[in-house]
Amino acid sequence: MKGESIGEFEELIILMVFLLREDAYAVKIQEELAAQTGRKVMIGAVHTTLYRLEDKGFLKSTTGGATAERGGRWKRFFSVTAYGRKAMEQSRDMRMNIWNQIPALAPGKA
Amino acid sequence: MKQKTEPPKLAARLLQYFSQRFEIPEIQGDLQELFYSRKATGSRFAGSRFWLETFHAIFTLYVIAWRRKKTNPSINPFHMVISNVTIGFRHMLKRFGYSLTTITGLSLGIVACLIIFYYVRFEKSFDQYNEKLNDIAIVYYDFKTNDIHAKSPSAPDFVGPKFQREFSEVIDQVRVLTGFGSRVFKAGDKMFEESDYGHADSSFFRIFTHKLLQGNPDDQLKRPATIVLTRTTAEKYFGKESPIGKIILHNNKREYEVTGVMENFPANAHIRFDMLMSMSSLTLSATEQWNNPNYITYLLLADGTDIKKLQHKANETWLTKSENLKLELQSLSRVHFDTSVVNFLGKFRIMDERYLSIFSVTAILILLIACINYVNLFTARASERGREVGIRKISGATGMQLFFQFMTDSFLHILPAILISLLIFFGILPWVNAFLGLQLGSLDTAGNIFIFKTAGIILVAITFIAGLYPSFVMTKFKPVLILKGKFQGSRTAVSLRKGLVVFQFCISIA
Repeated sequence: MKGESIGEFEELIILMVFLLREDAYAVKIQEELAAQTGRKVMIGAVHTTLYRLEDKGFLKSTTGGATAERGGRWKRFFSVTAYGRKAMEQSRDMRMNIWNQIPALAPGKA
Repeated sequence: MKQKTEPPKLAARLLQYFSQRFEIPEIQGDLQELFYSRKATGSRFAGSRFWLETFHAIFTLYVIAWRRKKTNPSINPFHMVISNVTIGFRHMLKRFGYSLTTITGLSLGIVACLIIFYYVRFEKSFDQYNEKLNDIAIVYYDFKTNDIHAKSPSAPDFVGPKFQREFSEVIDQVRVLTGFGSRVFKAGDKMFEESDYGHADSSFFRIFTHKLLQGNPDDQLKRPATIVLTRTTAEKYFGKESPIGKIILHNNKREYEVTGVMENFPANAHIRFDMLMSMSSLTLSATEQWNNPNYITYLLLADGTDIKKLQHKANETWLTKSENLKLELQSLSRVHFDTSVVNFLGKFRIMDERYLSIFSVTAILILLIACINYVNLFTARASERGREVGIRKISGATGMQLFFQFMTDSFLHILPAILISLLIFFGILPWVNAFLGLQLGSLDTAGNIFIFKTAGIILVAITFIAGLYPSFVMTKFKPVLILKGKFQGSRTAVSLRKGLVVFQFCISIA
């Protein structure tokens, strides 16, 4: 597998970004994460991960959507890059591959 | 109880500070949004959560900033300058003929300019070496007859002392009698014909500033039959020996004892002598005859004396009955420029001040022409740089960067021009001095500093004037045109170029 590996939390974040499409900014991601997985993480963790993923090249970001509530400050929306998508798919495929080799644990079988 | 509907102020301020510093406002916005939404759901921990998140955020900001710096080495302005200079040099060498022409043109213009300013400065500096310059006045004789109206810088011998006696504001006076024609002076076996000799009161050295190289400062021009020699005159007659106490024979008639050696009169003195004999050697008139002005008379006035008032007083007191004669007092600082005076015996050095303005303006015009030349030559070559600039713009050069690049470019041309012109200037200085009738060998330090300062000013001035237009032109055109091969210079540029050449011709002719 080429490139850098993705941590477990990082993987979740990327999935949230996929999920949220246009609305993928830190606060929403934190909300959705709590809703989907029940994990209540601090916003700081989300921020750190998002920026790290961007530096690694898995995500890219744009700015926009300033509201009065935020004191006029913009939001940073993240989206998955082609490279990021490929990395995720590769990771998923690799795991599926290994899962499939274990007959007892093959998905779908009790 | 006051409802707190805002994030905790201290935390907010902290967060604000760091967010601004690292220029990442979105994190701050997020925290604020969370605070308000918690407030909206009635949570009581919004404030403390905000605090917690703030600390975490500050940490996060640092991390992000640190990582960003690693991937974005900042454009060190130092590197930029070096790069600009290197590229500038390459361009200059690529079209060496052009560059040489440009630089030479600039140099010659600058040299001319330097010479003119040097000359103007010299003329303006006349008599400035006197410490008491502002308190010294010269007496003019203003007399009318039916045919003539003339002003002469002289007075009868009694006038000076009369001023000193009768007006308290006249602290001292000195009279100078120039020689009429040339006379032979002899010392030992050395014999020379001199024309720049004269007699002066002993107050001469108290009023004017001249350095006494040898001799007793209290005993100069006091006793009769004494003489003071200038340095070169002393060497002429007595070689390396000290002339003090020796005898010089004047006109084969009278012996004078040398009491001192003074430094030569500077080049910027309005009147100069090679030797001065004591006034006490002469017999002065017994009565006050107002009709024979032969003695150049200077007055030393008390601080702040109004020269014109004193003049008026003197005329009212002494010459009310005279219709033909009036006295006039002129400040020593203006003597060099006072063209209203008849320069008797041609001993005074006077010039019309207006010439100085004309020369200065001419110098500036010369510089302008040089600048225009530079601009013309530059725009003619501009199309070559077109492609380079186009690509630069596309790769994201800002207007400021380009502007700076071309200013550096012009600076790179002008600096050598200035250096060369300085070399030329100091090289031909001896000829310039000879031409102006000065006797400066090489320049004195003050003069040197002046030249360098002027050159510096010219450097900055030309860099801006000559560099501004080309830089603007280069910054403003569209890169697309370059890549399409269309860059020929706008219509305005070409006509501007033609206009400038015409303008130059007009200036030259004028």
